[in-house]
Amino acid sequence: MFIKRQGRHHYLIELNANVEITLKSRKDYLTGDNSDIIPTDTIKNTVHALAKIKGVNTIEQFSLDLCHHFLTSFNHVLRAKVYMEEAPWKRLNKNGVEHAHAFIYSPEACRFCDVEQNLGTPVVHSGVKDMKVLKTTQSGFEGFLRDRFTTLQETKDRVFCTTVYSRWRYNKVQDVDFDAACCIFIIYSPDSLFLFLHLYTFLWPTFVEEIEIVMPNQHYFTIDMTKMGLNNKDEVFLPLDSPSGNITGTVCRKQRARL
Amino acid sequence: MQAEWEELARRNWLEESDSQQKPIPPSVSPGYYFSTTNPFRDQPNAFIEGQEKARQGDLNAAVLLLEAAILQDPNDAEAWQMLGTTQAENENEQAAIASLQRCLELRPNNLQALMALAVSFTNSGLLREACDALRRWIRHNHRYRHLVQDSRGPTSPLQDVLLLFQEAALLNVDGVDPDLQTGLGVLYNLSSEFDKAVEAFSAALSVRPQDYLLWNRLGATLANGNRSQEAVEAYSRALELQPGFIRSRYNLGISCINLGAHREAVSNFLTALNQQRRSQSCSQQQMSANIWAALRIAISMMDRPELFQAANMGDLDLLMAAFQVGDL
Repeated sequence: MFIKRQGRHHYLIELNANVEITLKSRKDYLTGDNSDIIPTDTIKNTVHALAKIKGVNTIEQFSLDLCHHFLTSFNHVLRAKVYMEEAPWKRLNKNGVEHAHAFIYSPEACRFCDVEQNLGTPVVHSGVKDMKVLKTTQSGFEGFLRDRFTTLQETKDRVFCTTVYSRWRYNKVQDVDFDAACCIFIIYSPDSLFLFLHLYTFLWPTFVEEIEIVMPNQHYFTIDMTKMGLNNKDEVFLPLDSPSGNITGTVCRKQRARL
Repeated sequence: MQAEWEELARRNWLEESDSQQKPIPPSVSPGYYFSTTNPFRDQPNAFIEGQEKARQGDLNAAVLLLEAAILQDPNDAEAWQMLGTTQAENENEQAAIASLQRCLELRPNNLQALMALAVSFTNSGLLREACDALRRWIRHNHRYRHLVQDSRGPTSPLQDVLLLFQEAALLNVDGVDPDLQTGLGVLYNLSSEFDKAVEAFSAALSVRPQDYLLWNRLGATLANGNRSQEAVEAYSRALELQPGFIRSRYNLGISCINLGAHREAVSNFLTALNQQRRSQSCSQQQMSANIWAALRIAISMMDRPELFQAANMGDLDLLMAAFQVGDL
């Protein structure tokens, strides 16, 4: 965890880092010669030390710093891959006033990133996962194909719940506002993935080149109470663990030609 | 539900949440990043040799020579200008912008640098900066500077400058000013009036039919206006005139993707990357990141996961062998 203090106002970021490096040499495997090996303990220490030396602003920037360090400090490191997850600490808020140094753990969504660099430009992905959202109306599903195995009824209004996983790739790494790109789309979830991807692209920043979204359809079924003589008007539901449908899609930006 | 989303887009929801965070820094570049190892560092006549290499189409060598010339004389505005235009041809937009801005610091009225900068800003999606550069172009141009008035109506910066250029074009009753037409073409690209932009670049080409930059600009305009087949023809003309024109080959690859010719697209990107690499002392950093990104996209559409992995790793040799791309 990294804390930055600006007077009485404190900022914190807690993260879980996974660092992999690939070396050029093979003598450790072939002859048992360890002289090229960078111990994992050293890698761990490097993460701590770089947090102190460079500070941690966003997990993406810190990942970039780590990759850059390993590729430039040694001449036998071929590739560095860093995966990070950020702990969802949220500043405590009372009546719209933010507290200077108190936080509460609010796992609404897990923000993660992965950076991979092989001696060239790093490739940065960011994402959110485990973001469970639900809407109680204005979601429907109709007009689908029917065959002899289809029993699903069309509906114009249903409860829609999903846990969003989304990962996107940037087309540049300098001057990127990684916080802005981590857009939370809780409020307006769609009827279908198609519509979602199509409309989300109106909003995505120009430095995002591709986005992948995975949404399992978590069902809530109206419980049939007719045998108990009750008319359940979509008031009492039963959540279903499984089976569930899984919808995935990837959209990538159409490249513009350059004058 | 669709209406809700359109409302969000209208309210620029994403920008609203941006305003709570620190603003993204403006387009002022942090300065030019020179190559770390330059074999031409102390070369005499580096500028002249750089010009020659650029003419021959060896853009990477040209860049190194021009950088050497600048290291020897950091106030050489002409070298900065040439470096900027060469980097743009070499598909390194950020480097181009940094160089051209430095040139303009030394010589604020350099028309070629202003036009080239406007093009680079346009490619980077920086509309206001592009309009600003074009406005400065008119203001410093003897023939048209009298048209600039300070009064600003309620119109947008783009409409203001477009009007200026249109008025300027009306002054040329007996001939076409290819540079003015280039400016118009850039502005129509910004306003997405691609057909008008095509007319402008075509007019410029009628005066300068051997100008490969103009052929590329025409092609890019056609491509962005979804006329990919015609774009391919324009790019081919540009590449006939200058086979080392990396940017045009990159654009050609993009049009191939749009036409569904993924294999041809990959082939073009690999050729461009190989040309960059083959040049003297070119490190991985000096290959264009844009071209790698486009290559990844093209390969991702071919359903060859092992090749996609090679693209991520930057393994040019493996990819060239897989697609049978030899040396030109």
